[in-house]
Amino acid sequence: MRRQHVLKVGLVAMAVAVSAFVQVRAADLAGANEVLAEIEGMSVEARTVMAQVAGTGDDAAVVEAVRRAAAVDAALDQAKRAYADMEKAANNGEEEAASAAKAKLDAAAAKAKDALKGDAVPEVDPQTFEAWVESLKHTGGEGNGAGFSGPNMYDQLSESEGFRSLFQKVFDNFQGATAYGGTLGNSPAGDLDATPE
Amino acid sequence: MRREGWIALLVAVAVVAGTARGEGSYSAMSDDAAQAIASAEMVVEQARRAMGEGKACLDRLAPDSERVGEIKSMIVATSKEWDEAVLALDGAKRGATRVSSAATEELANAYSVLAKANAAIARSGANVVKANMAFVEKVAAGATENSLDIAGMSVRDALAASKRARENYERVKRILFEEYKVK
Repeated sequence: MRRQHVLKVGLVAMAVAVSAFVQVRAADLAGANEVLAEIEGMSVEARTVMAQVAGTGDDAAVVEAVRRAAAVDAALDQAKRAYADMEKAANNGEEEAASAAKAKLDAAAAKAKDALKGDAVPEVDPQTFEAWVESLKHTGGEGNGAGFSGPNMYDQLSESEGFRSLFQKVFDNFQGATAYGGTLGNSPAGDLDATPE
Repeated sequence: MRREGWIALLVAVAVVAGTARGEGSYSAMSDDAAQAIASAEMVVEQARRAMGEGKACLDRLAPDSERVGEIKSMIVATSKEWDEAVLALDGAKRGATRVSSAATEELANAYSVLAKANAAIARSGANVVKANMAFVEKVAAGATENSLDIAGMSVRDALAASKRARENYERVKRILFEEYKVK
């Protein structure tokens, strides 16, 4: 009788331990995706700087912005590889490998942050840089899923929805948003209720 | 002291220590989220100002400018980015408020992760708006074709990267949802 009791307690303890491991794994993967989202955000920021300095006449600033953007993207590539390793390790239950991959992901995030805002302008290997510039020529337009499809989208606009009224729409959104209220209920990006407490 | 007394004392010490450690973690998670939100708010505010300046630039644009079609398309896409940025900032704030009141430490961590991911979406959306407005400003100022090409390409790439950031957020949400759904 006593042995059975001990066995039951042991089984419950094992179930709790397994459950705890699964929780850590899910939370880690979610956290890793959050880090990836942050690095993608840095990539956006690097492009924003490029757009801002282009045409200012400050060639050094343009070169610096391009080099920083290339370095951020290089770090992003590293981060994506680390995440893939982490996911694979987690799926196989290899906790140590998953931790090592997470460390690589965090290192890539630090590298991206340094590339974007660090005091030193990052050095980019010429071959990597050339490949990156070449890749730019093939991104952003149709087929990249960015929601921007160049002339086709222009063609889809009705004549009545003129250019300035479109911008007015954007501007109205901005005015409505200053209070951060009113129409904020149904966005997937803002919906935290999917995680029940 | 009898054996039961020692055991009760040890349990009490463990509970107090555990509570203190838990509170410390909650506080650190709240701080992380708050920092991410403050940073996102700053970029959203910069984008808001850039939109005001961009609007003034649009009035100076020649209607027959070759870039008008490109700007039109960008504004449609950027408008969505702005909406997402504002919604995500709100989502980040809602997530952050739940961190301190979450029932467990792991749930608090989940809300903190969601809040930070939302803040990242808000930042990237607002940065796309800034990039777009910078492009409009350059077209209105009559910048060279070469620099407009660089700026235009940057906006398109920023849009693509921002979309990928949102996809990452969706994965964050899906993973956490699956995790808490089964309990």
